[in-house]
Amino acid sequence: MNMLGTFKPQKQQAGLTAVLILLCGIFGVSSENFLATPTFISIANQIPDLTLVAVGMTFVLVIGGIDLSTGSTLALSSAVFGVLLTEHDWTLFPASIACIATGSLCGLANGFISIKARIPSFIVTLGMLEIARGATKVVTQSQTKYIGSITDPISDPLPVLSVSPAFLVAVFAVIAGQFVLSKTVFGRYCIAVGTNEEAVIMSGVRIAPYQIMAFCVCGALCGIAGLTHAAKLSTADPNAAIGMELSAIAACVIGGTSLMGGRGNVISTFLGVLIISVLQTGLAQLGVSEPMKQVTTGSVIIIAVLSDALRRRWSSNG
Amino acid sequence: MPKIILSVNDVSKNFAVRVLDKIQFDLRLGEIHGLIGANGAGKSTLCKIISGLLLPDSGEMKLNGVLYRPKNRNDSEQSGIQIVHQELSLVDTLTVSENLFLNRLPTRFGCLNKTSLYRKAKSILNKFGLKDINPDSLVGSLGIGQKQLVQIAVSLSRDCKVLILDEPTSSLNQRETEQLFCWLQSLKLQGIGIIFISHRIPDIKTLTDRVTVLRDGQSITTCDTKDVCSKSILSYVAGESTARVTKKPFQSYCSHEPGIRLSHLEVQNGIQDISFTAYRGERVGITGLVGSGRTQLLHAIFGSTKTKRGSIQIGASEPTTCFTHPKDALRSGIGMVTEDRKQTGLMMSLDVKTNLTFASLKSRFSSNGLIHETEEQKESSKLRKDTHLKCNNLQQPVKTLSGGNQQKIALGKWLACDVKILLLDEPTRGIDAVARQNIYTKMEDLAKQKKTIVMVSSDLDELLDNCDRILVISQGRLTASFTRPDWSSDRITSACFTDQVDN
Repeated sequence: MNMLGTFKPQKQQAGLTAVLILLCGIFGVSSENFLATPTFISIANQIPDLTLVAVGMTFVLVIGGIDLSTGSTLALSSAVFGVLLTEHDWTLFPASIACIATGSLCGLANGFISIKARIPSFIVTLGMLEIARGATKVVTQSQTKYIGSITDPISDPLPVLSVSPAFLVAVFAVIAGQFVLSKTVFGRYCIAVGTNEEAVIMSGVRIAPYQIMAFCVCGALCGIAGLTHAAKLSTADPNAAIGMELSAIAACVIGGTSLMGGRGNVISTFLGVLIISVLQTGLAQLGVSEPMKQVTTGSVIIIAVLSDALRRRWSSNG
Repeated sequence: MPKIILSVNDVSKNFAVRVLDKIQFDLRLGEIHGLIGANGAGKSTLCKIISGLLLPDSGEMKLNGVLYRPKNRNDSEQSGIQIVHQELSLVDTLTVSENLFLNRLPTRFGCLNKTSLYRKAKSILNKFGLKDINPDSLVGSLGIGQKQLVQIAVSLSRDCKVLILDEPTSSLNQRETEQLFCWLQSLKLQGIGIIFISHRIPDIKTLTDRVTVLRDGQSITTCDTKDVCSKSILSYVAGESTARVTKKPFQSYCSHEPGIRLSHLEVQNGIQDISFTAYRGERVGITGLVGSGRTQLLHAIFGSTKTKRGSIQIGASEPTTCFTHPKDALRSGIGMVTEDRKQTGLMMSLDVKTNLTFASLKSRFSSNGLIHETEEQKESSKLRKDTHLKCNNLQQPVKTLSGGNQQKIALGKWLACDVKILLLDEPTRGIDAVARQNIYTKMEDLAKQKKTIVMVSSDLDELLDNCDRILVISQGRLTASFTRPDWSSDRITSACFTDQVDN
């Protein structure tokens, strides 16, 4: 009866890329230093943490949940990592494993409690936000731990590529994340659960393991982000990544992920991360004050979501 | 010549294509006017225009001889036109009385006056013969049939000159339907014009004074109902495709090998001690009043309702306790097409392919957790042909399809799993005659392949046409069983009411 077409992620990614190029163009014209290799290398070394967290967040949002504890989980993982390295003389590899395991456990706890006890994940992860932050302070005794050069293999730029292994890990997480979401049974079930839980159960699928797994994936990615974060700064900071959960949600939402669940794309989320960091870096180069940076970033989030919503409405009302 | 209350002249409406083409329609004072047509014929669009939800592209409407141009729902309600949609617009978390008076709740000193509300609601419900509905019960706790009755009561309780009912009987059982028809007849005598949209020709025949047939956006004919027979209405509705909807004689494929055997199935405060065996190739129909436990029985078999007692035996295997999750039922080869495809059957915003292969994704279209996309695509194209599904492509979201096509997907999902036992709950509700026929044909194919079908329906005619055996459930118990050829619709109907008469 009308032109109810499918809403293709490719189309949306083209739109996001256009916005990204437009932003680069604007900053390129208004700041002579912006369109230069150092800018892009600095962005590349800055974004791994947010990218990893946002990829995890996409999974949780897709199943119709939310994870507000990601920033704290990141901080706790990096605190465990830093303390193991500095005070217990662990080597890099086992300490990294412990760091990722810490994140995964936080995610597992979030998932297990909210799914098994049927408590909204908003509330459970709000609790975890406080618990993990408190635990971080206990672990670090509220002091910033200096790790030193032991983490350099993670954060030092690679020869030729000039980007850090951390960046490559983040890009790999994006590609792998999108692969899992679109090509695996787990990904298909995540999208389906976020669309209509009841229908998934009535199709003979036990949904709880998949839901818990989504939280676990998010936690593990926060753990990896904790690793890259600690490596980047060579410290484990008890106040690390405060508010990062909101930046991650913003990146997902700019990328068109629905907070109601059932719709999300990891590549689009990554474009959302890039838009946020280009904006941050560009505005900083222009010498825009911190408050005005916040106002601009906030406006971009709203404009992005608004235009997405309008486009969606037009495409479905034909 | 009776007075004409509402007339529609040459109304047309285009979306991407022409949906209404110079519609002629008039409603007389105190008549019930049936509106019938296949899905997509333009019935809903016409009603949306009359009730102000859509503006016509051309043509005009007159209400009591005065030009009538509603711009929104409010305009039409002000003019006394009330519409009851198929999708109910009740607030589940409020009580019946609060829903009845939602836009004019009685207050005292700014607070809700519960006593007065209860009294007013009670009197309205009594007036419409809904004595058994407690004004204080939550709407969410009512069955779908009762909700429909409350919804109509909401419309009737407002200023109502023209009442438009969109498929009001699709979720009602025979008794509720008769009750509804009684009210409508009495409303008609009060001088209200009623537009009654239905797929069901028998309902149109029983209830309406005149009938207008729409086909492909055109008003084909308007005639006095008593002057036309069901067959000719059907031929108007179906156009040239009439031949396809003529009834085929029933052929049984029932064997003597058991397909599923239930023993003493029981649900807390629900079905009691239900035992029966359905054989391979058999189509078993289950009927009963709304709330008698028909749907619950299917859910108990499928593992989606907690059972208190009972065992299930599939084929020649050992009897096991009831399933606790649909996953276990599926593993034993049971599939279920649920009553409410939007809520529990399909993922409406996802595409056709995803929905078709969803239940079999893990077992057939993946290995080590990876989806085999080519096979998935191939199988969904095959299922699309197999179920006569009409869609532009397999990537189309399911919500953009008509009810009939959605239902074919809900069924196709289980065909992909190759289930041995298929439970169908109201599989043809709200879908047009041609799609219905497709579903019946598919059921016959399955029976031919020695699958067992257990089907719940409020539409007794469909059970009589398509089942080997009909079981009657009343108040949670299996009370009667009828087999061909010694059955008749009045005997089965009276069996549905047996317990109610005794108590």
